Amino acid sequence: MMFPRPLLLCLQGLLLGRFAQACPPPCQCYDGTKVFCSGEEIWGIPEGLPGNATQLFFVETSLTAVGSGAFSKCSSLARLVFLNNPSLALGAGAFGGRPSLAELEVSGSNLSALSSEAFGSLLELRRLFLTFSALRGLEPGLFNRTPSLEALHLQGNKIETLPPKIFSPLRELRVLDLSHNPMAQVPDRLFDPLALLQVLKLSDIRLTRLPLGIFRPLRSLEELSLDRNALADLPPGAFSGLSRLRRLELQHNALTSLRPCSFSCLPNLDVLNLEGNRLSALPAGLLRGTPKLGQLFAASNRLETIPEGLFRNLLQLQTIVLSHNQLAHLPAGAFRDLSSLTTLQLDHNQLTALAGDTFHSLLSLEVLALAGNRLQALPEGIFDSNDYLLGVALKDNPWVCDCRLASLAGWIRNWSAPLNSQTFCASPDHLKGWALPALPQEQLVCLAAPGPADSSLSPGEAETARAPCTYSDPEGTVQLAGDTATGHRLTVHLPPQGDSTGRGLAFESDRVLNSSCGTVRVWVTIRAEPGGTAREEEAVSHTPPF
Amino acid sequence: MSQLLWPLVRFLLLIEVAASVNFFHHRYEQLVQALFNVHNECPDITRIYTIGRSVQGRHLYVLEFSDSPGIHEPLEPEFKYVGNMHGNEVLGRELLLQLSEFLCEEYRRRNERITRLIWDTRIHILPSMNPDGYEVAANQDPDAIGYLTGRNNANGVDLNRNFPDLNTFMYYNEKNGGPNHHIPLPANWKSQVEQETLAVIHWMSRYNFVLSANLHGGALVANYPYDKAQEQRSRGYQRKSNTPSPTPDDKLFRKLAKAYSYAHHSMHQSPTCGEQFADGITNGASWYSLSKGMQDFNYLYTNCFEITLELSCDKFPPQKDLEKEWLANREALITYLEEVHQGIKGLVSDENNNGIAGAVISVHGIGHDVTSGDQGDYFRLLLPGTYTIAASADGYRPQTVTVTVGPAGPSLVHFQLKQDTIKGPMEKKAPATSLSSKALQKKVVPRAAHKKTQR
Repeated sequence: MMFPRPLLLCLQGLLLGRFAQACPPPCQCYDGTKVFCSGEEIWGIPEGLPGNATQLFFVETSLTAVGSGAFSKCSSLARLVFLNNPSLALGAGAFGGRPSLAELEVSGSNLSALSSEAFGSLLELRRLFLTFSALRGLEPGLFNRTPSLEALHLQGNKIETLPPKIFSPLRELRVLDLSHNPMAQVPDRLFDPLALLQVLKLSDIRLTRLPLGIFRPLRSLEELSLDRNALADLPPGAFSGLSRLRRLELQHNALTSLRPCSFSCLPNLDVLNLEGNRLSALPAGLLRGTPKLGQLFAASNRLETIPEGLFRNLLQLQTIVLSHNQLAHLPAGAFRDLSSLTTLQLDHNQLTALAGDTFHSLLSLEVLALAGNRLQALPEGIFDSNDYLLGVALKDNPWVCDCRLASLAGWIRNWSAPLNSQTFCASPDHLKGWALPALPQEQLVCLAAPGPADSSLSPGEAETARAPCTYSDPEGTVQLAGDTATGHRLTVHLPPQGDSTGRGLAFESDRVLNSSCGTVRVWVTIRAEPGGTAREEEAVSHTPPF
Repeated sequence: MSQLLWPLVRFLLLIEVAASVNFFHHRYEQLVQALFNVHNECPDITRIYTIGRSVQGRHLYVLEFSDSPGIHEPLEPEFKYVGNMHGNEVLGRELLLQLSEFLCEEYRRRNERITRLIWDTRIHILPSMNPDGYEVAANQDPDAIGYLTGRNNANGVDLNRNFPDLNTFMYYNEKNGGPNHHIPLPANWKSQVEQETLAVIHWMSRYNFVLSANLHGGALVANYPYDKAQEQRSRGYQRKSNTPSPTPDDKLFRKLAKAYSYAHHSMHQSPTCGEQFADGITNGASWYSLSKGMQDFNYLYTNCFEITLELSCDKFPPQKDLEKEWLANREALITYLEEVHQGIKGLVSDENNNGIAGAVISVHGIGHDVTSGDQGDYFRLLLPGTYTIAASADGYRPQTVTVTVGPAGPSLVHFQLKQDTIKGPMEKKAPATSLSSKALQKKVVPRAAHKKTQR
């Protein structure tokens, strides 16, 4: 099928011939310095690795033991990577005499223990990955002679406990990842020496509580991940002192409540994720100490409402996600001042009505999710100030498809149809099951004046809805009846026909119509095409409050 | 309205809250590390396998996503993404690595949409088909990148001009009768293709892929088959090269291409790299004719529908642009993947409910058949509409049904074929194509006649 094997090897030989160094047969060598060895047929470190190799990779081999001095001939080795070598074991001093080593990775092995002498003296080691293996713990002193470490990745092992002073020598550490280990608890002063640490990942380590003050020494910390644990509570001041923190991930824990001061001293916090907890309320002052908050995720909690003023002064807030809660109503002015907000997700809650000005302050709003609520109608003009709105998701609400939805439906057809193809009417009966964007505008009518028991309108609005304005010119030739809720009806009393031109119906008029609600100027043109259908053109110029 | 699909992304897909990923150009060793890292992060839904090696011995690693990695589940379609076929067109390679990390991370976060996708689809990702060329391209000084440096493989061959040319046979068959799918390969084909090409052809034969995209760079457009123009040099003059060369599935391909271009941040808003493409899509030949490409080969040799995505004006974009490009493509990459779930699919079985492999599924009026896979399951992408579908297999009586395909999700259409009692046992052993190709000749001829009236 393929090239005959000898020919292939020969070809490779030719291609690699310009590099003087030989490459041991099971491996490939590139640029004379990068060596890749892969394949289950490799049982031991191949003989004859090029002496000037700087990077050495073992991928899916059957390597068992890497003994002392295994790489002693590779004096300039900077990077040594073992990927998914299941049987690999590292003996004491396996990397001894490799002072040049800057990066070491052992991942996907069944390695369950490491001798405290495994690394020997690796003074230049900057990045160490011991990941997705079966390490049960680390011996005290393991890092005593790797003082330059900047990134330490231990995720995906079976580490249950760590010696309290294990990180003491790592004064240069910037990134520490302990995720996916069954640790359950962290020694109180484990992180004390890590004053330069910027990223700390403690995701999915079965944490049930945070020791008091455990993060306080981390003055440089920018990202802290505590997601997928079992935290039921955050102790007071858990994050105090983290003045550089930008990202805090607390999603998928068991938090039932937060203190007003939980996040009080985080002046640089940009992303706060509280998704998937058991929060039934948020304290009003929760976000007062986080003036730079840009994104708040609180979906999949048990929130019934949000406190008034929760978002006050959060001028940089761009994203709020409150999906999948139990929000039944929103306080007046809940989103006031959020002029930077682009995304607001309120889908899958219990909202039955929205005030007409709910979104008026959101001058940058682009995306709004209202799907999966109990909305029957939206007040007219609810999106009037959202000039940048690009999409509104409305499906899975019991929409009443009558004249009150007419303007919204028109807007959806033009702007959000793909999102709302599954937006169906719940009533009236004859439109039940129709997709709103597919409904012709003429179908969205109010056959009778809307009843007073309309839960989707606030009492004030319902009052207005029942008081129609009828505009008329003094002669009563042109009348325009309508209001904000029921749509508009234009009546034109045409002069008697029978003029001798034989051109049939034609009418042109420019009138000013008056009513108790204000004034409207209307141009009405009705033209008849010879032998064809009448064409009607109309232009209406509005004056307030119409 | 559709130009606004892009911002809706954030509705459909959960907003990215995953830890910031590192956006950088991955050299071969870093690519390998990244793939194994994703696999180790999500061992239950991923598998890494290699489909062969490059000329210089680099592995052509594929990362598979599935709820049961390594196993084809009947009625679960197979999808593939291929990146970096031209070594110097590197954005696809990085996007596919980002996509891999994204699928894994979102699955772990229980994102509904991604979870459903992985449960219902088997996704194969080949981030680099030309890892040797990539290293040549990446070794250049970033300030002096040659336009074509690293494009070819280590033998200097353009892999997208290296697949057996089946178009010629297909165009001949359309006029004269003959198979309209699974065109046989020329006898000496293996000696004419590169090692990377060979590996990919074997890969395409081993899995019954349904949908695919091949990620390139240098323009911003979704390009669909055929790439090769139908007109030949005739009567001493060269026909214009920009005449479209549509497949029998032209409407479907246009929809597939638009699915990408409209879900992309800006692809649909031509012009971008100086060239104007309406809707951000183009028929390959109407752009420029190309012979022996991978896209046409997919369509003519397998059941797979492949389009070619040109993803960036800059073939080797600066590192700082990678995050922006990922965000511009993320929704499109997911949307296009979801396109595999449309049309019809089903099982072709005999009277004892044993699957029949290699059964031919024909759609009346579309001169391109598909065949069932090893377990008798077939997948036929179709636009919404009503179709007459026939299933035929050697030794069985053909069966015809009329089905209506809706816009959402594929319709299940199963066939249970009865043994053909008229045929004697000797005839049953006839070559697998004999029955179907006879039937096909009848189907194809009217189409050819139709074509003549068009020109």
